Amino acid sequence: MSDITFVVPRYGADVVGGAELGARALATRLSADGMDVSVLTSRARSFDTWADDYPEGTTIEEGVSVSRFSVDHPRSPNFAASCDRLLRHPEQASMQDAWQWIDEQGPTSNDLLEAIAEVDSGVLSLTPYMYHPAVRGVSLARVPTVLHAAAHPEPPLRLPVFDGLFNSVSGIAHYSRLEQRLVLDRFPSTIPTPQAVMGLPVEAPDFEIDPDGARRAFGLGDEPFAVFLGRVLRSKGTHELVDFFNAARERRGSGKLVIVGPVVDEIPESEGIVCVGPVSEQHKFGLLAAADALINPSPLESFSLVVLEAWLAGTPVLVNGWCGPTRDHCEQSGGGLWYSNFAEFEVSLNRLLDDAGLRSGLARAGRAYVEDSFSWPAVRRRYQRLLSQIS
Amino acid sequence: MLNDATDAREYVARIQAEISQEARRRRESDPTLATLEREIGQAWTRSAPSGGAAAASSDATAPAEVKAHAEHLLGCVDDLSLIDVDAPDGARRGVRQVKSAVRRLTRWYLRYLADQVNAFNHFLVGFLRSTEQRLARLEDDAGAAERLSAFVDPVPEADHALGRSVADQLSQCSGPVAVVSCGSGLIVSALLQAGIAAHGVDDSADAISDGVNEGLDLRVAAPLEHLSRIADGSLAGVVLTRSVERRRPVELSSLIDEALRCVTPSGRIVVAVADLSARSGPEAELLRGMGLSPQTWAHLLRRRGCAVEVSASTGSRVATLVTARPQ
Repeated sequence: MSDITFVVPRYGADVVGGAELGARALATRLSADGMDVSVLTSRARSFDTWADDYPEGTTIEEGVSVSRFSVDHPRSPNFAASCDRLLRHPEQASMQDAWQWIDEQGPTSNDLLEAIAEVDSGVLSLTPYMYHPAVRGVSLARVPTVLHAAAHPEPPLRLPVFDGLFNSVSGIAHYSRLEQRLVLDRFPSTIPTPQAVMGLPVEAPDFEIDPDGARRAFGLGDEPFAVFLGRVLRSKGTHELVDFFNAARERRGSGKLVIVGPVVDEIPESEGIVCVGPVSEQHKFGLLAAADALINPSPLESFSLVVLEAWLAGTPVLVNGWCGPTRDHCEQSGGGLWYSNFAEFEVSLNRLLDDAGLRSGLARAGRAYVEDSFSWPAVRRRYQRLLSQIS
Repeated sequence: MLNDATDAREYVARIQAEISQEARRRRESDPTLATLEREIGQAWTRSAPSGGAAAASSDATAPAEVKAHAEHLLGCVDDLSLIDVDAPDGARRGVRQVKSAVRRLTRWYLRYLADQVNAFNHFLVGFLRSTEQRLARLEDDAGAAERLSAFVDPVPEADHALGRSVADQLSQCSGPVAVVSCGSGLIVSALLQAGIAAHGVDDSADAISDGVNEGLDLRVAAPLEHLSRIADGSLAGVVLTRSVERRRPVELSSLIDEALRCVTPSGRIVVAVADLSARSGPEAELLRGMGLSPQTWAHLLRRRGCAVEVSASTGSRVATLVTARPQ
């Protein structure tokens, strides 16, 4: 008998992904506040394969009851071909093709769907919009549902299959006002649906941040450096960032780019790029604090936790100006810069690496913004108001 | 030292303007930079994933997906435009005369076409210029009232008492209510406290930001556009307040039509506006022709076939509420 049940494709402390991190951040904090919180998820750690990495069954993790179910089959080998075919003109796809795409996308688990259908109290919280459990599960729900869509302006959003999902949920929680605008434009029939621009809770870690230790651990020396943090994926702009950084470094003659996170799409080796892979939370915040700037090149973000974490670590950010939500964070807070082409990237990078006064001014403004709008009490207040409307 | 969020926003906007200017200057003075940008863009276009390329491109005017289509198209054109190596040449008997005749005919036909196109273009450009001038004059005339209204203080926020009065009028509603020109959301908040699902819409992002931070469902949009996107009969109520006091009757008429279309047959429209007689001398003169008195709202709604009730409000500024029910 849970007060709230999260349905998410993957869940765990070592799962990387914005929506998954967001679900875990909410679930653990709500649980710590005394709510009865459950999670229904697959056993997968990787969305590339949906391989059953975690053990099956229910465990208690950080106070949250987490039930993991085996997937019926790994991700279809046809999936890449399906994407190529269907996502060129997604709005022209037939419903049948779109449903097939959802089934191939996965993670497909009949046991997980049955568990969704058995939830008979509280609220079901589905996230993100694009995966099988949310799209197939919403029609099985017997209790009010809230969708944390994590929508980006990406081709799949235009598939006809998602109209049913967005129109069926009882409420929608958005990570940013730009995400809300995107959803309202794409699904105008959701205008009367209760919604909140909620964001996600972002708080400073409860351990001492050690920038010098992080520099030592990764052999970074005293050279100025920028950091990228997240999955290394072409669609997240990492490869464009590497090209930009290499070109800028060649012209300025110094500086490093430290890439932190699991590598999905390989990047070519080059002198100024240090790829450290996934790191602990201590080292993550250490690197964020030691860096002269965090760069988030992704054009597809619905919130970007890492931008806000960088501000908490006292580091300014440089983001892709074509990404509405991250640019909006910078504009609203006055805590970061953005670029729309290489020339702007180069000038911004040089200013950030060379001007300590600029860095500290930006970081201070960013931190104030995070503490004001995204502390847990502020986010909880917004979420509870939404839940009270739909439950 | 930055004192508050506004200072920080202005600071970043200034730095960003400096960066754009510096980037422009560098691009103009450094030809290698333009080449480099082009090379990076091309490399990215080649390696961008299917579907994600358009969004990922840093060139907003020519997304990578469009470029890819264009390149494919150019390839097709290349294939079709290969020179036929067996084309007849002038050395063959009779061919020279035929080619000369074809050339003359082609020249005559192209000149004829060019003359026609030029004449049409000439007319079109003239027509568009005169239309643009007329439009500019019209916009100037139409905008004069709005420009004057900028010298008047903004419409004050609703107070809690007004929120409760509006909630009382909508207490029978079961379903969502839209509050047009919601400001910081006091009326939306009062409706939620009364157990009525509600969202607000306002054309000012600054006006709603405090309410959004509190978790109220407030959105930035032009009121008429917002209502026009809502499906027929999907709201239980519409509240019209604040900025409707500063709109011209023709806009208000459209707003009423849209509000009536959006509400269910048992729905309600509540108009919460101050009486025109409460305007100060300068307000009355500068806002001439804008807004309607509650009595005129009641008249308009009755003429639209609604059952109308005029009741007293406990709000400090808005003394009368007009509540209409479609019939």
